Amino acid sequence: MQDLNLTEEMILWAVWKLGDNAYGVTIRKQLSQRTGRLFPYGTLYGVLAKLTRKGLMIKTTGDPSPVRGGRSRNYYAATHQGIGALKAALELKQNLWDRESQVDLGRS
Amino acid sequence: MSSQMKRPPRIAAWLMRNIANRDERASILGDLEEEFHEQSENSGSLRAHLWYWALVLVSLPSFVQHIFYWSSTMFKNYLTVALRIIKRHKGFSFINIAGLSVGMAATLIMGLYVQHEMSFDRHHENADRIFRVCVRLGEENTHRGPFTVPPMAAAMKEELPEVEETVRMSIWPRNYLIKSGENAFLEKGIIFADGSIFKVFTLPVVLGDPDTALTEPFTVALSQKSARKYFGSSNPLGQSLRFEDRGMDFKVTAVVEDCPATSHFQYEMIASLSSNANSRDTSWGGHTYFTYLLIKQGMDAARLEAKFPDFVRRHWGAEVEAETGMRFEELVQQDQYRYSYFLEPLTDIHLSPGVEGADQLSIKGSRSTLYIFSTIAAIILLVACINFMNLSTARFVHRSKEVGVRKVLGSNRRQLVLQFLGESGLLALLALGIALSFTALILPTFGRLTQRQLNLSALGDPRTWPLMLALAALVGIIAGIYPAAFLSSFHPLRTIRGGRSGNPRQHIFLRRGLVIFQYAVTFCIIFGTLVVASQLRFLRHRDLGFDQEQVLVIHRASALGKQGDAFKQELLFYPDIFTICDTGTLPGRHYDDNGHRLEGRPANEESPIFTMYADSRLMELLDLSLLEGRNFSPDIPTDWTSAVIINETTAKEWGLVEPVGKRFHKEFGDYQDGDFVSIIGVVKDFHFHSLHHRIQPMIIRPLSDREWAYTSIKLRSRDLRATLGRIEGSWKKFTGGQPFEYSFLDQDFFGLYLREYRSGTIFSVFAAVAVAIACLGLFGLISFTTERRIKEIGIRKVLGARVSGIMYLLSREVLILVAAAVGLASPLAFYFMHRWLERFAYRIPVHPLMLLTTAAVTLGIAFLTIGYRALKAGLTNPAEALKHE
Repeated sequence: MQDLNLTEEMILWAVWKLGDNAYGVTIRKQLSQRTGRLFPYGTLYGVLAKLTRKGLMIKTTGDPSPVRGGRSRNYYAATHQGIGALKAALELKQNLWDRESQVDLGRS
Repeated sequence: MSSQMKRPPRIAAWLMRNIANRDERASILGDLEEEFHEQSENSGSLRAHLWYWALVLVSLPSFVQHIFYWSSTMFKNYLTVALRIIKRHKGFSFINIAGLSVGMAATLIMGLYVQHEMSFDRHHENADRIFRVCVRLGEENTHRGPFTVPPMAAAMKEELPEVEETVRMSIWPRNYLIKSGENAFLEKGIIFADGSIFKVFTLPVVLGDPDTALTEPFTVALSQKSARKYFGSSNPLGQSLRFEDRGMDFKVTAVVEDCPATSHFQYEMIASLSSNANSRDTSWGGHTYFTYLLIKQGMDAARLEAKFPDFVRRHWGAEVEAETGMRFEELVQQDQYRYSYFLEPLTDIHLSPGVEGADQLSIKGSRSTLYIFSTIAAIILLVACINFMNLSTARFVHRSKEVGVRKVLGSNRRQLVLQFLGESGLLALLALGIALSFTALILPTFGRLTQRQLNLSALGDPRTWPLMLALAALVGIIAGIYPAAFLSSFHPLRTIRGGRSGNPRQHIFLRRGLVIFQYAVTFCIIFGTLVVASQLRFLRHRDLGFDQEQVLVIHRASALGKQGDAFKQELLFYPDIFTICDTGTLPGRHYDDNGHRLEGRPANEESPIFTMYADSRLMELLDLSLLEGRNFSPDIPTDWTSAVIINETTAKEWGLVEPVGKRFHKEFGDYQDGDFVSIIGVVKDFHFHSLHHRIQPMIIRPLSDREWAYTSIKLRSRDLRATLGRIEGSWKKFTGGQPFEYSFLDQDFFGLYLREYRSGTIFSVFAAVAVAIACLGLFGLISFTTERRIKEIGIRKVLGARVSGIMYLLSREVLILVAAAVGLASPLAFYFMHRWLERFAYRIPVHPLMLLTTAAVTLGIAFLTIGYRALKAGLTNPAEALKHE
C-alpha cells in the first residue's frame, strides 16, 4: 500500500482521534489545535474524498441542522485499513527517528 | 445580539456553491455556515463575514484544481475530435475561421479606435477638474461655442471661490512664418496662452521655469520637436525667434514635451498671450478667447455654473444697458443665447459636436461616427457568428453518430453542450490569433483614413489580454450556443440507427430566419453606401451660386504688406490671370458673426449676421451677380467707411422690400466712423458655408488692412504649372523670399465634406467585408445542401429535368428568403438614411428607385453566390452522382 503523505496523515489522524464526532468543522479545529495549521476547506475535502475513495475512511450523513443552514453533516470514520495506514505511518516515523538521530538533530 | 438570523455573505456562498465539487457541496457549505455562526457569536458579524470570505478565497484554488484533474482526460478527447473536424472539413473551417477572424479584426480595430477617441485629454493630471467656458449661440446647427471675452478669466478667478486657476488661449488656425537665423518655417501649431497654462494643464516642462515662462509679452515655449528644428542641439533658452507676420522677436523661455496625439489642442509652440494687445482688453464685447477653468478639489461644476448669470450681470450689465437703453434682465430673456455661459468638461470636448470653424487647431471626434463604426463592427462579427450557426446546424448529420455514441456511453447533455461550446470556442481562439495579425496589417491604413495615430501597442499590453480572451469566449458562446443545444438534443437510438433525428423543422425555421437577417443587413449596408455616395456626389456637383473653378487662394497674403498693390499690378499683366481680389475670409472658411440692427428698430431687435470683408473685385472673382444696387466703388470714398452689400437671404429674413439705401446701426465701435452703415447693393445668394447649413444672412464689407488674410486669383490658364510658377516668382520678389502658400478654392470647399468622405470610405470598406462574409456563409450553406441532394438531382436528371429546372429547384428557397429580407429591411434602411441625410441642409431625396436598385443588387449578389453551385450541380453527369451504392 502506498504511504500517506503528511497532509493525508494529519487528516486521517484527526478523523481517528475524533471518533464519532469527525466532520468538517471539528476536523479543522482539531488540526489547528494540534498543529497550528488551518486547512482551507478545499484542501480538506479534497483529501477526505481521496481517503474515502482509497477505503481508509467511510462517510456517513447526519441529520440536517438549522445552524448549518438546513444542511446535514458528513461524518467520517477511519476504517481498519485507515487505522492500519496510521500505524504504518507511525512505525515509519519511529524507525526513521531512532534515539540516535534525534540526539544528532538536536545537537546540530 | 441575535445571530440566529445571520446568513453568510451571499456572493461568497454562491461562489462556493458553484465551484465546489458536487458530492461535497452541501457538506462544505454546512461546515462553513456552522463555523460562521460560531465566529459571529464570538467576534461579531463583520469579522465573521471577513473570515468567511477569506476562507472561501483560500479554498478556491484546490477546487479548481480538482475540476481540472477530472476533466483533463475528457478534454484531451474533445480536443482531438475538434481538431480532426477542423482538418477534415476544410471548406467549413475556412468559412468559419475566415469570417470570425475578419469580424474579430474589425472589432479589435474598432476597440482600439474607440479607446483612442475616449482617451482624449485624459493625460492631464487634473482632467476631471478642468472645464472650458462656452457661450450659447443662436445659430441653428451650432448652439454652443467655446468663446469668451478677454477679461472674464481674471474676474472669475478673483470672484468665484470655486475657481482655483484659469487660463486663456487663442487658438486660431493661421500659419506663422517663424525664423531663427537661416532656419525659416511656416508653423501651423502656434497657440497663444496665459502663463497659467502650466498650472491648469499637465504640460511637462523640460527646460525653463514653468512659473515665469510665459508671463512676459513676447516669450514663447517650444515643444521638444520644434526646439530641435530651430536650434538643433544647442540650448534654446534665451534665444530668440522672429515671428515674421508680427514683425516681433519672441524669446524662448521654456521647452515642453511634445504634444500628445490625444490632446484636443495641438501645439508646436506656445506663445505668451500677453503679446496680443487685446489680451488686456477690459471690454466685455468681443468673444475672442478660449477660457479654461481649473476648479478646486471637491467643488461642484453645476454649482459654479449657477453663479454665472449673476456674474455676467455684475460685469456686463452696465455696459449693455448703456448701449441698448434696456434692462439687462429683459435682454437676457429676449435674447437668451447671447449672455448665457456654461461649462464643458475637458474630457467631453473631443467628442462634443462643436462649432464649425471653432476648433480648428484641434482634432475633432464625433460620437455618432463612433457609434456607427462600432455598430458595423458588431454586425460583421454577428454575421460571421450566424455563418457558424447555420453551417453547424446544417451539417448535423456529420455529428449525429458521434453524439449518439457519446450518449450511449454515458455523456449527459450538459457535457455535450460544453463539448460543442468548447469547439466553437477553439475556433474563435484560432480566429483571434489570425485577427491579431489582420489588425496589425490594417491598422495603419485605418489610422490614415481616420487621421488618428492609432497604436498597436495596446494589443500587446497584458491588461488587454483578458479582454481579448473574453471576446473570443463571447464569440464562441454566441456562435456555438444554438448548435450545441441542437446537436446535443439528438436521441441516441435514432442517430445510431440512422435516418433523421432531432426536430429538423424547428432548426430549418431558425436557419431561414438567420439567412433573412443576414440579407436584411446586407440590404441596409448596400443601401447606406449608395445613399452616402449619392449625397457626396450631389455635394460635389451642386451649384454653389459662385464659380469655384480655377480660383487660386494665396494664404498669409498680408505678408505682402505695402507691396500688395505692386504685386497685383505685376500679376494682372499676365493674360492668364483674370482678376485678383483681397479678402478676409472665403467661402467655406470661418465667418465672424456680429450683431446688427436696422436703423429705427429697438435695441432688442439686434441679430447676428455673418460678415465677409472683401474688396470690390469679389464679384468678378466668384462670378457673383448683384440683384439690386451697385458694387463698392474705389471712386466713392464713403464706401470704405460706411457701405455694405447684403445677400438675398438678409433681405428676405429682415423683410426688406427695398433694401438699397436702408441703414444699419454700427455696433461695438467696429465700423470706423459715423453711426450708420448703408446698404448699397444686394448680392444673389451663394453658399458661403458648406451645404450642411442653409444659407444665412451675411453682409460683405470693404476690406481694411487689418482684415486682409487671403489674396485670391481667378485664373484662365491652360498651363497651370507655368502660371503657378510665375505667381510664385512674383510673390518671392515682393515678399523678400517668404514661402508661398496656396490652395485652390474648389478643393478647400470640398474639404468641408472630408469627414463625411472619410467615414464614407471606411463605411463602404466595412460594408463590403460584411457583405462578403454573408455571401461566404450562404455559399457554404448552398454547397452543403447541394451535396446532400446530389442523388435527388441525379435521379431528376435521369428522368429528364433540365439544367434550368435544377437551378430553380436549388435556388428558389434562398431567393425567396432574400426577397423577404429586402421587404423587411427597406423601411428600416429608409429611416436610418433619412436620419443621416438630415444633417445636411441641402440633400438628395431618398428615391424609391434607390430602394429598388438596392433590392436588385442584393438579389443579384445572392443569386451569384448560389448560382455557381446550382449550375455546377445541374451540369453534373447523373451517372457520377448515382454510380455509388
